[in-house]
Amino acid sequence: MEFTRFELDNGLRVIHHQDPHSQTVILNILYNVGARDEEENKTGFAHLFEHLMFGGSVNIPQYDKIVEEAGGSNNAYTSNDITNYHISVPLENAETAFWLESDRMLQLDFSQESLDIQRGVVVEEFKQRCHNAPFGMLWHHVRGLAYKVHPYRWPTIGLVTEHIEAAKLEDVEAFYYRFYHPNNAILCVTGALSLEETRSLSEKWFGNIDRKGMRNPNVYPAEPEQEEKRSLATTDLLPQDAVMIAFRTPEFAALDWPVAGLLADICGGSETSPLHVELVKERALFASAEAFHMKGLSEGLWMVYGILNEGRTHEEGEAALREILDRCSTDIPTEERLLRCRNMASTRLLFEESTPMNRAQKLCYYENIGLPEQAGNEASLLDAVDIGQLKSWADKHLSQEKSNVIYYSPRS
Amino acid sequence: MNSPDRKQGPKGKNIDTLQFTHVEPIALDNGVPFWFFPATGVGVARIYLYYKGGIAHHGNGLLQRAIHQQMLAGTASATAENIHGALENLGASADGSADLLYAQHTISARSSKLAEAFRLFLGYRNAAVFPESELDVYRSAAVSELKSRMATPRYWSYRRLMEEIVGTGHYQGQFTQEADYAGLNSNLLRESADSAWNPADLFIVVCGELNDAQLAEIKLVWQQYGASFREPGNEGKAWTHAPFAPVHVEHAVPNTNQVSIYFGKSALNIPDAAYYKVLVLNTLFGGFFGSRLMQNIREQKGLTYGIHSSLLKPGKQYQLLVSSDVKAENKSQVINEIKREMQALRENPVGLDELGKVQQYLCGNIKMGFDGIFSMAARVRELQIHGRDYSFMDKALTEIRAVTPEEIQGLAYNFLDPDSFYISSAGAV
Repeated sequence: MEFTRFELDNGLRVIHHQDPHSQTVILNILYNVGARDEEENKTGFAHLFEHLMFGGSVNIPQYDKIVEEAGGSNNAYTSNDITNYHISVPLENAETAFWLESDRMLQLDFSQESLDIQRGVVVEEFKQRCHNAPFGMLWHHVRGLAYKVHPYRWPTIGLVTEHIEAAKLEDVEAFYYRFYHPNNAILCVTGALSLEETRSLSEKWFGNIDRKGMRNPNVYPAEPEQEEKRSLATTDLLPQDAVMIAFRTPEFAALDWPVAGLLADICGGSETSPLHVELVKERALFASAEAFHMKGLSEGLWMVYGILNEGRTHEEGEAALREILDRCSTDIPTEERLLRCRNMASTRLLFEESTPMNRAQKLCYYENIGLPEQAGNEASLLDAVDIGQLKSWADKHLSQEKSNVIYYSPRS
Repeated sequence: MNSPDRKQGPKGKNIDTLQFTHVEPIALDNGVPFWFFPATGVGVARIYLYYKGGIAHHGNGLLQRAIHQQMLAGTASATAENIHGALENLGASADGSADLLYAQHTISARSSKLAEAFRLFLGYRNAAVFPESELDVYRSAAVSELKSRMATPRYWSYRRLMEEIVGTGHYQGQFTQEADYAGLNSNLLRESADSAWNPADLFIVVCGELNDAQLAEIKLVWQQYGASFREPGNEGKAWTHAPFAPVHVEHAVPNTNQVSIYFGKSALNIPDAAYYKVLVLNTLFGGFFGSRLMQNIREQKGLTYGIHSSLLKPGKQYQLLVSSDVKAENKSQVINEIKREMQALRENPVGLDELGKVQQYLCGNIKMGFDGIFSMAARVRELQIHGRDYSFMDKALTEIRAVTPEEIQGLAYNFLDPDSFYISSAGAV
């Protein structure tokens, strides 16, 4: 993936990557702020703030109206680590996207009315996603069990709706001035726009915004090493019992995520994996079972779960999952399975990178951790993983005493 | 550098042109239409096998879905693990699904491995025996998934709406029950697979980076395996549609604290010549973030996370659906607001500013929809299953631009009569 990066005087980092197939211009802006930057009694705030970013800026009262009049579309998401905004416009109206994004970085237009409305919207989003969807409270439970100190202990949507309902306008203003400025943001322009136009439009629209603040130092309370297994029995909106086991994994910048990801694929990523073949097919213990790794800037989570068939117990399920995990550091990873899973992972990577939007988000993500050159190097990282690494990684991170086990039952 | 004029902003340009290549299909030796949309620098490609007809043609959605999802579950000599292992060794994947108007198989791989993956896929698929042991696994996972869906308000509001607007004698009103899975067996799937995979219904679209030799190999693979054709010609299953009698149905879903609302009407006759006009009406009403419904009910009143209207074509006729999930005590208010917005569009012509915004939004998003190396597969599929050609897409922007406020009001008068909609609400009712 070829790209060019430069920095404006106000600290805004800009990355450009052109796509010869595209007629569209994508501006992706990553702000280095996420749910991990919230206070424990004001959770869900970073996500609520993301909604308020669409409420208008001093010179553009209606953000969405201008996007739509340019023939464009836009969206955003908040994670525990970052808040990411993206806008796509036809090449003809590329400059409009620079105007829109720069103006809300220059000065957002705060209003009590907008805050009141978006609090209502986000509370309904909370209920829709968490109370009225299967496994909706999953991240509340997993994070609450795995973390005791680090702000990863709450999910992006917030711990409770009361935190969202209590958000005040002064909180909004303070949050904006602390995190939403050029020096704490990364702009990536992908699609049809040339490098020269990207430089010129970036300078024109973003260049004269004051630096305003410091970059987020991303310092958080360190989560102590987990020394004993933790367990939780709880209920959620689901039809059958289920077992989930989560393990904390190193920070993204350690770049061992290919090991974690390949190990998840080897254990439970496909119909040839031991989770599926042994536990779903041969022993008919689970209706479905999978493993996956979720990356995170402070830490990641490696998860394995199974939805139990009728008549099976949580204890049986946990023991079977544990049995598979114990074999991860001995006999499950083989050269043949590694090769197969690596082939799958590297093909998946190419498909992911086939869209300008995904490339833009990946470039911003790596720039944010100071490793921009790694954005195009993921396939090499996958290729470098060997059997020894897989086994020792499993031994180190997937042991019994580091497990966080949840027994799920249907809510009654 | 001088400060830019931030109040005024750059002067926006109208989006008036669509750019895409009118690739014509190559007829393979066995007559199957074959489109290739090339790309460079991506290193991957994907083959789409589309079968016209789908559940609307064959009936029994459960069976159709099972056939396509279980196609790689085993042959007389290869287990599911053998089959998936062989594809995984190549870093390739294959999926199958059955939709209302078509079924599809997709084979995805690195460019250099795609022909080999296709050869494996066709070999295994053509020899599929649907082993009972694999069907047990499939049933168990599918029932678990069904139960999960049935725990949500959204599932029940949609289901109750469809049961009313098309009736349970229609393919859209037939919902799988847990007990239905017991009726699936190897013999039934084997006997039904032939008609579900009739190559006479097939067209192939390939997108991605392939050199001439790789492309030629893919064509050759198909021709080796696809020579045994049956004649098309049956019209498919006949369906009855429920008579028109709008009602408001409610369904309680335990352990929920929201209400999912659906408005719907079916059997709308919209000729292709009027399609883009009705599309503008739907977009204005509830088809995008700036729509009347979204602005009023979410952005001004904060009553929901989202509200959308959709114009769908699940057969020869269209459907218009509106959906939203809301706090239980706001249900009546939201229903009344939806009706009020319908009435407003019927009674007052839309302003030129608002209409212009919708037109520009639609034109831009249609244009951007052609971006991406795989986008043309879905475009060709839609044209084929609805019997259209490229001219239908060519005229999109012109027709959207030509719509007038009077036309919108006239269409709203016909399509948005609040009393003509069925309403369904489910959850904490």
